[in-house]
Amino acid sequence: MTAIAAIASRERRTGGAPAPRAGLYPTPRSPHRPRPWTPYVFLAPFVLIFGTFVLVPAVAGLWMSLHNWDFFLPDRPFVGLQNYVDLFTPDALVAQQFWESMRATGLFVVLSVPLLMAIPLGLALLLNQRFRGRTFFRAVFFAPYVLGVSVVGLLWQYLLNGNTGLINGYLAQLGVTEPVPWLTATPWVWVSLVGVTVWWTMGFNSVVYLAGLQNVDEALYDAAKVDGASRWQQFVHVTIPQLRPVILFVLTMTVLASANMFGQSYLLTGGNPSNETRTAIMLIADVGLEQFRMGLAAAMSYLLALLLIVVSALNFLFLRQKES
Amino acid sequence: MRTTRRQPGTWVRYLLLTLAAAVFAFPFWFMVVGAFQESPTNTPGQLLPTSGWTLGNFAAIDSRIDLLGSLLNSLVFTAGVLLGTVTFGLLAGYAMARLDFRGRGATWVLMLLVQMVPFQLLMIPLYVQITRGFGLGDTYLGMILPFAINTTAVFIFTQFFRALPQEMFEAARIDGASELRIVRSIAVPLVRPALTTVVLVTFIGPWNEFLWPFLITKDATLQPLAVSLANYISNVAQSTANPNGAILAGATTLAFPVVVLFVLFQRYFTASNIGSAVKG
Repeated sequence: MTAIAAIASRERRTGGAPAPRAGLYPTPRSPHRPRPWTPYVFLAPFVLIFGTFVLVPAVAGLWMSLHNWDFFLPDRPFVGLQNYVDLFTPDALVAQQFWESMRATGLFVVLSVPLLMAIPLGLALLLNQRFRGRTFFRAVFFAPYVLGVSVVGLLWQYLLNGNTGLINGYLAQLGVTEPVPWLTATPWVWVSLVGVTVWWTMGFNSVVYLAGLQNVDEALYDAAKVDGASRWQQFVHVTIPQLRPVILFVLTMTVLASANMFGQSYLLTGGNPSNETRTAIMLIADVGLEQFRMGLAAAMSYLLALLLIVVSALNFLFLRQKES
Repeated sequence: MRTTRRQPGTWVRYLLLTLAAAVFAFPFWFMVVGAFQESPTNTPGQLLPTSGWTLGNFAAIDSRIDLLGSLLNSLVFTAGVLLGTVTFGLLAGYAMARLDFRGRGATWVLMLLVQMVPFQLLMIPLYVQITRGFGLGDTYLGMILPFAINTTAVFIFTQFFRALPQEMFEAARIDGASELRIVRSIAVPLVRPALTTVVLVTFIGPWNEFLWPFLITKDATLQPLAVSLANYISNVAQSTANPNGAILAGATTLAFPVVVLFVLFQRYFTASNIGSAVKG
């Protein structure tokens, strides 16, 4: 079974390239073979925009991070690695702020990712069965994803408000007399941020899981049933291995999304209480675009990016190894 | 994981799903009801109001921010991003799926890389580049260009192009059609569902995008609705008679087009379409 999974996922990774397929259908020579430069022309606009708006800023950011780069100052002296050193000097204020924001980011990742992996999978399993109203339920659970973060933040700010919010109103009816400070005190701020994020984005993960589930060969389940496997055993030995590439994809994307969380904190808690929910991106935006210390902000960006690359690579290695 | 009908678990499933769906839909209900109320309250008892309906909230927010103008800006921004995404995505997807060339593997890695680089990490140098380098601050072009390519779109197109039979392309080539002609007259008409999926999936992004247009536009007449709404909340809401109602009316206006599109084209948001992007 694992061999099948390995082959299936390898096929997915490399994709069925058309080249070998062409060999199956020998074609007569024609005057209009695609010219050798045609593919490059077709790819040119994509690559051009990628170069201009991803690659150039990425390099420019690195360059900025090595300077004392202020948007409004004419002098932007080269400072070498000073910006990075500052971020590793324990008693520097920026270092404290930065690592505090990294802690908040890490905490959010650790709290949100397991929920965003598990709940959508459960939902996808439910929705993968045939029953009346399936389309309706799928639509309802996906719906929040179409909202923008501004609308999401706005709505939940009303709903979660400590004094006048509806959530506390309902809790009061249930006999909770003390209003819960959803947006102003730990640990409730984390419950709110994670809960809102799960509500907002889990529909998308469910849809991706559903796609994976629909590609699982029914014959594998039948074979497992013949062998007397229980529902749970089928799940562990058929569903999970078959879904592994999809799980890897969802995990990587979810970790990246959570690590780059900005809007929810910005709009719901404003980073409070005492900057405990100020995420790294929020601090970077503040230092770079409010205080205009862009060199320092760029250095922070690079440290965060480096960490994310390491985490993504670890995810990949870990899940790949299990596969073989 | 097939289930047979009439299992004891059936009603439990419906109960669970219905409860969860109610919780999920609740904020939408709250938003829409509040937008049409004279004084939206937060007391649970008044969630099913029988009186106090008004359209005044929309008039109130329209008097403070140019609702129609902002919607138009959102539309221009979104349309520009879609045009770029579809055109460049189709060309790139066709090359990746149907043409053989050196460096295809490298291109694939490059595209995965684009998907991995979060926009926020580039935003500071990008801001400097667009405003200072290109002088595109306060322009539609400056808003649109950084979003004009979308890897997910390329993946979706590639997947669909791959599924088309090779003979069709060979036949067209024998007839002397150029590759661009083949894309236009054969490939694109055959992948209409992919086109719809890409348009729907990418529509959500720019329509809701807040951070980038917020940074790049200081001129209020150029701001998309997501930005002007946020400005309204932070600046002028205090001076409106019923700020909560007005804010909810603005949020409803912003959410309305996407929700309508989503409901109309729900079947295109299906697992296999979006999932095809994953399996690239």
